[in-house]
Amino acid sequence: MPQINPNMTNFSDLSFIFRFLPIFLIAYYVLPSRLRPLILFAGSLAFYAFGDPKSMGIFVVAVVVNLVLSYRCQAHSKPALIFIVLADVALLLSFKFLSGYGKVPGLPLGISFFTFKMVSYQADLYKGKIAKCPGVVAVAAYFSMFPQLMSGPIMRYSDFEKNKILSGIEDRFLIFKDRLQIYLNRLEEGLVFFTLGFAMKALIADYLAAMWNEIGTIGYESISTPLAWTGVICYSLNLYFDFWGYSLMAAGVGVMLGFPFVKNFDHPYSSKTVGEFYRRWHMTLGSWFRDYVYFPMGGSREGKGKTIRNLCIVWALTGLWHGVTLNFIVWAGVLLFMIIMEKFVWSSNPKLLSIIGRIHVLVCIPVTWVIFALPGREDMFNYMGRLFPVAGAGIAVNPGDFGKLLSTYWGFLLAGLILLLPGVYSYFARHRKDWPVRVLMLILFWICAAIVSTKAGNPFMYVNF
Amino acid sequence: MKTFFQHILSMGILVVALLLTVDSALGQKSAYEEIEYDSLDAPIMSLTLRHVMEGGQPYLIELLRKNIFGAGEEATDISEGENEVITPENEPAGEPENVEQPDATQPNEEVSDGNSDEVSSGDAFGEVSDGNAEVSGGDSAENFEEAVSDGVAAEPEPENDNYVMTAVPDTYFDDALFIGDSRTVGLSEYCEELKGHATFYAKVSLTIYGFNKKEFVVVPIRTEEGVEVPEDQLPKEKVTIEEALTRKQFAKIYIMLGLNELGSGTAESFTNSYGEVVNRIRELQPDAIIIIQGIMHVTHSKSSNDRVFKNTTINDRNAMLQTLADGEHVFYVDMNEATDDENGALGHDLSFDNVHLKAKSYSLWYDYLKNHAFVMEKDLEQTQQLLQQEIDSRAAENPENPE
Repeated sequence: MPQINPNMTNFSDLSFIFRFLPIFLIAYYVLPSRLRPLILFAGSLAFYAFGDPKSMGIFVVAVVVNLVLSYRCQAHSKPALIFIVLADVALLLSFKFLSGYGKVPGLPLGISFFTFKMVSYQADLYKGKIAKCPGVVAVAAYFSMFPQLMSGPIMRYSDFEKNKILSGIEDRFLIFKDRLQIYLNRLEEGLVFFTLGFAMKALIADYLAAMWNEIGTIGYESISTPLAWTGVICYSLNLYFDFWGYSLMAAGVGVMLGFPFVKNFDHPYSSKTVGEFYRRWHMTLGSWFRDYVYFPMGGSREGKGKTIRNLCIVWALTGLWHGVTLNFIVWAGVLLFMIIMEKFVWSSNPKLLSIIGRIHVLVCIPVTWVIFALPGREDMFNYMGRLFPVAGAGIAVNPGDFGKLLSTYWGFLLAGLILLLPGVYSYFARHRKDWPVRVLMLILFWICAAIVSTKAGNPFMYVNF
Repeated sequence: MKTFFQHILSMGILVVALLLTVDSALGQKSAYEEIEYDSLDAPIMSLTLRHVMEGGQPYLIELLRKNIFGAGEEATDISEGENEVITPENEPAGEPENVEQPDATQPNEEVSDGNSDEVSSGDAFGEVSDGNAEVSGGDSAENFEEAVSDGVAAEPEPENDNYVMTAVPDTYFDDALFIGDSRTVGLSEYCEELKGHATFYAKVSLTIYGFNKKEFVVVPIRTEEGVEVPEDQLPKEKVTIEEALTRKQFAKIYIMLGLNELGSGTAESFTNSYGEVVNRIRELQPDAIIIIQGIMHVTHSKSSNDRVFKNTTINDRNAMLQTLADGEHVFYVDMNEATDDENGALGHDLSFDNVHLKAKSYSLWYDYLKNHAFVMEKDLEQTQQLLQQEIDSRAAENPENPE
């Protein structure tokens, strides 16, 4: 099967926004409402085929096996649950290792996310949290739904069920005019979130990614210490707005289809401790680990020793989930250390905790993102050596590099820092129904579209050497 | 209507998208025909968006404006028409993108045709050397020019005026100028030996076509005659390289350009434009030698995965560039010898982004230039003495700071 255009699966690409999405929405809302789960499933398969046709087989097999086993899980068969959970985890881990050590070119699209949805679905079925057996098509649509296929958010089935448009309950008996009103309201609401995410991605994250790339071009062994620290801020903001922006776009598309808004980020950088940070960063992943790993093992209710053990397991798995190379293990280890210290050492003195916790969140976490960003051991050591120049002065360092990069990118860094203030985003989210905000969103949308238009299908995008 | 304004965001996106699509579809064959576009890559509306991002106006608005002016008096109409003829020529030439390539090369080709005629006739050099006599007052270089302009292919010129390739001390580069794109910018930033010594007229995304178009070289303004103000107190202005070369003379001029041009034109059209620039520099800097540097390769992975940035293309163009060297005033060196791996590509470890050298790798480039420099045969001995002194003084310094 020829790969048509992988950009189709990129939410901030015009091919997705003006080709895939509108065609899908028309099919979703115009065809009979009882077909919606099927349309969602079929559309998601098409989406997968655009993005990663080679892995299509793996994905379809995973969906089918999980569907078959789900009947046993619903009948509270513990062996079935154990089997399917182990199978899903083994599928995920084997690909993590294969790609981490370069045996396969990359992970199958969305494997980290659809396997986690599958595990949570089976566990919820087993525990009886899902009342009646949903139809095969609905569950397949839940596993594969394209807004969350690539990078989450990891929505639970209980939220999936809340979609009254998908099930047709909301509009089945309405006349056309009232239906139209409902659909348009949904679209409008979803588009506000989508545009906010689009702007974060196109106006901030993409530019900071370019800056981070320029730092790499110099070579980590040759950057000045001020630039190394600016790089820490740059990458942290890049990652944050890239992922938050993506999550908002994904949630926005979900809202357009009638799903509840899934919150994935809640101003993590205003947290008081690392523990809190990770309850507010990539929230659907954190709560997944909480509900399906940490709590089943006893959480923090069974004494200090077991709590530490449980935290260790959760963070080891979190590290593995992100990647199997050494840097992810180090990254998770540093975070685990800070969390344990916060929980058992600093907590004895609230004042101390409040100071150390903020330092953790605002200084240590950004540094951990650099570890996260650099899978190569040598790169990591070089970067740390420039951040903390105790071992030597580096090779061919140009002290002017800091000023040069800042003169180009200061505006994007500043915009990112301003958006760290919780009030800015909250204002737009709260006033999203006011027309001035929506007109502003309209303008913002087209600015972003114009910016990304220069990248899509333009082979000369990087002609600025 | 009420519904429309209640959903201003959705409706606004829909309406604007439709307008853009119509505009792009109508303008595809005219206003946007130069934009490289594949309908598989992006919706057609991206034509208008990209045109606007490049500073243009949407086709329909342009059309509307023209019609309104057209309804007015005829004079306006004509001036409008003129503007339109001029804009596509001026605008694109400034940009390196392929999109504008036809425009960028066309005028260049015309000019270079004329010029290469002149050069081959031998008269051009005579003219140049005349100018030279006025400027520099007739030194050995002038003699040289005359020898050439006499159309002498034979030997009987003074032997010691020949240039020979040799290793040189760092001071060699004190009166050198480097012209280049971002790679040369990197050299200026990360080569300790050149920093503060050599002069750089280098700019990110510079192309050979930008030689007389991009105003970025910061120089002191021209003073009126008789005004005696120290140079460093004069206000600065930004001028093109061509203009800057009229204000300050150099002894060696290094050029490395051609990466950003890879997506546009052919090896021939590129080399023609390049030769044109070399000739112009010869006119402006008659005492300088010009060292054309072959375009540095990209890494193997870049070369094998990119539509445009391929080492085979670079090699084709380098082979053509080499023909521009005359061995007398214009020389060709290929620093790829210092940075190539076994694939004949830029060494993977030397680069992060597969195109540029890492900071620490620039010394390879510099060392190559230092060992492949050109001096007059009669100065050879002195140069080698200076080099030996440099080596000795380094050796004398080293025991004091053992690693």
